[in-house]
Amino acid sequence: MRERIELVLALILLPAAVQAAVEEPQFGRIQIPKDVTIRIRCSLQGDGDPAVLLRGGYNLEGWSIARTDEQGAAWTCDASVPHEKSVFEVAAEGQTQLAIGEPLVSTLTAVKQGSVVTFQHCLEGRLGETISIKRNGERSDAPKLRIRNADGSYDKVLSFEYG
Amino acid sequence: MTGPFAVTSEIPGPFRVDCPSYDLASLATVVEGETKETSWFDELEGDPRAWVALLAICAITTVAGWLARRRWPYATALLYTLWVAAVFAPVLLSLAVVWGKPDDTLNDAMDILCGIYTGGWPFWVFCGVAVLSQVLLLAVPIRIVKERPIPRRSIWATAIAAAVLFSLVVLGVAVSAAAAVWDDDALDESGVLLILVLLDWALWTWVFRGFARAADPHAYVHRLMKWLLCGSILELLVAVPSHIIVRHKDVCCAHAVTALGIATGLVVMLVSFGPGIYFLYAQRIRSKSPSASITPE
Repeated sequence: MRERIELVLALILLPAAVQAAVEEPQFGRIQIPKDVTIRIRCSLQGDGDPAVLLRGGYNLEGWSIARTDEQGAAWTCDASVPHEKSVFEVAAEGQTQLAIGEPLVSTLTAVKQGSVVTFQHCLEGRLGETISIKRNGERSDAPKLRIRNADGSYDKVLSFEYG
Repeated sequence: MTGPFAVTSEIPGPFRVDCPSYDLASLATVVEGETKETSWFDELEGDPRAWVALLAICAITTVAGWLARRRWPYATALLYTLWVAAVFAPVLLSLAVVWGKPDDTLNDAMDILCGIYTGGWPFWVFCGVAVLSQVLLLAVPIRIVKERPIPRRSIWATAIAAAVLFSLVVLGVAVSAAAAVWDDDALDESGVLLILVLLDWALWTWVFRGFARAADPHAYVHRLMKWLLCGSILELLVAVPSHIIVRHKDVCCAHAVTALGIATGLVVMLVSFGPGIYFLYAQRIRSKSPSASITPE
């Protein structure tokens, strides 16, 4: 009789235990001295849904995107976040938006001296991140500069140089 | 061909990039002053300070070597070393650096040469080390020719000097190979490199000092020179292919490292001829000396 009661109780409690195990985040405990703030490094891969983090301040060092093109080449885009833009807060309410990832921002500047025009190119993230794009582990080809006039009689593509 | 011109950038890769189109007229910041058209002659002109420094060193060392040729044969060897270190090495290094980048020109070479001469103490320390090493390498040959006893300190001095040059050779081999494998990342650990060079120097000093125990002085000098010559040839065998490998990569500074390997290899090779040149001088002077042909009856 006692064994039957235990079996019934186990069957009743099992789904609840499973559900609790699935839903409850598995937090560990760490003792932090009073008035001390620790900075933690971790990596999170986005899947489109919001990620759950403990509320508090975080220091974002960088982010990266890995992608494979149609020819099968592996591309990576690594971004280093400038120090002054690296801190973000996760609040208990609401959702923190990070202005990271695509689109990247490409800016051109030009200096004209006499008849010579010198172009400079800068590729950054939206937070001003330093961007490094690699193809199969090697630095990708330098960006191109395209110059066209209105009627299309002049259309040239030049290549920048790193450095 | 009429304006206005629109300029835009194109970034390779599967990433989404905002590439706005700019109107060239409004984008370009106009700077005062006309830029003249460049010709091959302009390319040769380069930085005038580099030409002045180069010609001054060439003239002074050549004239001093000519004036000193009779009384001080080994002074000629020292001037030759200075010429090798101060003229040959930087010129070769500049040309090799420029050759390492397909788009660089002779003008860039002259700028690099000027940068080497005016860039501060490292280059002049290198020249000082090369000349001092040559002086120390001549310590034993001079005593051999003058038939004087060779003290242990001269053996040590020769071993130290040869070890300095051989450390440069080993360093050149190591950094050239590292540059070929790791590109610009090879330059990251310069502190570790300095410690390794010092350890390397101590090791080769000990090895070269050991050579003196098993050979007579003439054979000892000959053996050291043979090691330096073989080492520099080995360095060139590593540095030149490394330079070619690096040249085909998109790098910032690695080609300068391999160029340095080529330059040090050739300098050590030429410096290693110094004692040999001295022996030749001494032999020549002795054969021309009247006292050598007069025999008392």
